[in-house]
Amino acid sequence: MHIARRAELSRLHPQAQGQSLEDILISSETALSLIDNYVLSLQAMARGQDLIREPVSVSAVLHDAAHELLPAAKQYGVTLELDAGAKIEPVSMHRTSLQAAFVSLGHALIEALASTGATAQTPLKLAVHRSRYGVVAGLYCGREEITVEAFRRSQLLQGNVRQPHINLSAAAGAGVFVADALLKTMSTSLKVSRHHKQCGLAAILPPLNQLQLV
Amino acid sequence: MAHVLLVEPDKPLADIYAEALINAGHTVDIRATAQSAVFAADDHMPDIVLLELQLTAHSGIEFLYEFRTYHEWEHIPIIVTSHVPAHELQSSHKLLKEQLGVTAYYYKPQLRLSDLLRLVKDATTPS
Amino acid sequence: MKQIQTPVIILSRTDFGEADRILTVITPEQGKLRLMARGVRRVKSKLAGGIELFSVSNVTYIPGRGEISTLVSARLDTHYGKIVQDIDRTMLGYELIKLLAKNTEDEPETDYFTLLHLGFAALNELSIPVDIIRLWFQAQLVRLAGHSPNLQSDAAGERLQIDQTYNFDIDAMTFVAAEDGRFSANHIKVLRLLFSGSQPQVVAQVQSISTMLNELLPLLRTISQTQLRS
Repeated sequence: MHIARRAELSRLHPQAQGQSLEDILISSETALSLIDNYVLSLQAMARGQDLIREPVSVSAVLHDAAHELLPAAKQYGVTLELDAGAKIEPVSMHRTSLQAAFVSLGHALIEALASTGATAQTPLKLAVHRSRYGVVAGLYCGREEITVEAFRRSQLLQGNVRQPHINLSAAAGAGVFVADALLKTMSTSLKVSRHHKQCGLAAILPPLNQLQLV
Repeated sequence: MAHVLLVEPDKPLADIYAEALINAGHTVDIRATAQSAVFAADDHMPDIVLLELQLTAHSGIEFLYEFRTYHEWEHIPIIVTSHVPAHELQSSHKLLKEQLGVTAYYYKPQLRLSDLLRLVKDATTPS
Repeated sequence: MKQIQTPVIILSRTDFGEADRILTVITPEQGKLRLMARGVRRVKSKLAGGIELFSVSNVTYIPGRGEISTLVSARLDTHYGKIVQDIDRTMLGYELIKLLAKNTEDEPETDYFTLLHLGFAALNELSIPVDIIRLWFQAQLVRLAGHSPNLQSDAAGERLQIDQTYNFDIDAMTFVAAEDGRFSANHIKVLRLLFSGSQPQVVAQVQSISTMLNELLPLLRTISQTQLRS
């Protein structure tokens, strides 16, 4: 829809063509990314536990996910932050699926933040930290609406209502469910989490203790 | 030209609509939520409201319920442009029109900018 | 001055003057009332509609000489907050209110207050499909108006049989035995459930209820259109 309306706008007002083309490019790439990640989640679910896992630096994955999300964040007026500098042990994951999960989640939360009109006050942070359960990596936006109960309810409501996360997002939030589906194929899932007192959604990833990245 | 209150949570789409409306000579106030839209109307009474039904926290229907209880806003046309297809709320159309004062209802993905501009012009030009 | 306390459900609200609001409410014992709430509009409401709608409140009012009484105090008792979290349910909630308002006189019986209350409770239960609630509510309105279809015997006065099929005579509101009739015993069982005092939660639990209701939809629509004001 963005693409169609932008194209129409540039036809109505040729002087806006440059910006329109830029926006069309971003919208197209966002849409393709979402579709790709959805297909990946279906393929991963079909293949079950056969995904090839490797030692993965979560910080690097978050860094790449942030880079991929940057154009969409800019388009929606959402500030992205990255807190992944600490030395974190590698995890055993399917790198592509893990990054796709963070990107899908990121798109959903970017759209959600923008739909509350609170973008200036609420940056979206990609972050990782250690907990006693493992490496916790995810996206945090400080919205108090992200509670365990609300998240559980949204998972039950998915497919049955138009807005499973109505207090957080005006949209269906498909990216959240795609992210969760991808993570489930790697024996983990999305959970409500806190990072430096900020609420968000994250995955607990078991560290690979045999190998330490320098 | 008209002052348009655009209640639209999709920021890139809101920017596109606003740009088209401004280029057509209107002024636009973009609000993402029902509550902020009520406050915006209180600050600067709009000539027309363009409304998405799917909003966060409070839906566009709650907005309509609230907006239509104020006498001073009774005459303001409200055009719904929504992700919710018209046929899915078919049984509620009479209610939307007669009780909640919706002037017209459009399925957003099928509403072109040129049509939107024409609707705003028709609704705000004295006959 | 005599003050009366009662639970209420708000049917509508309109502004009056600069700062006042008139609420039309339904009560269990006093039927429909119009209550003047003074001075509530000094500041633009913070979407109070979301709180007022789909709630049961306990109010105290002073009966007026004319049509409008004066609201003294109000306390929220139950707010069915999940309804407004879904557009389809919000819309149906509205419809139920309007349907009830149009199909009741000023002195409706307690059953109408209870019906609306149960409707809200059902809407608030997100596992109950919206369509079931709509059809159940319409059936209950028809029942309370005394226009229920005859679900015990056919047009010839014979008890409805389990192995017989029927068509429906909308004018007589009764089944007519017919070979290759559209309705079977299962359809009639579902209709009996809808038109009985059962709540929508019970209706929703019936096996294959959605399929059965789809097949009954044209009949139920016709009954609503002919028996209810819309």
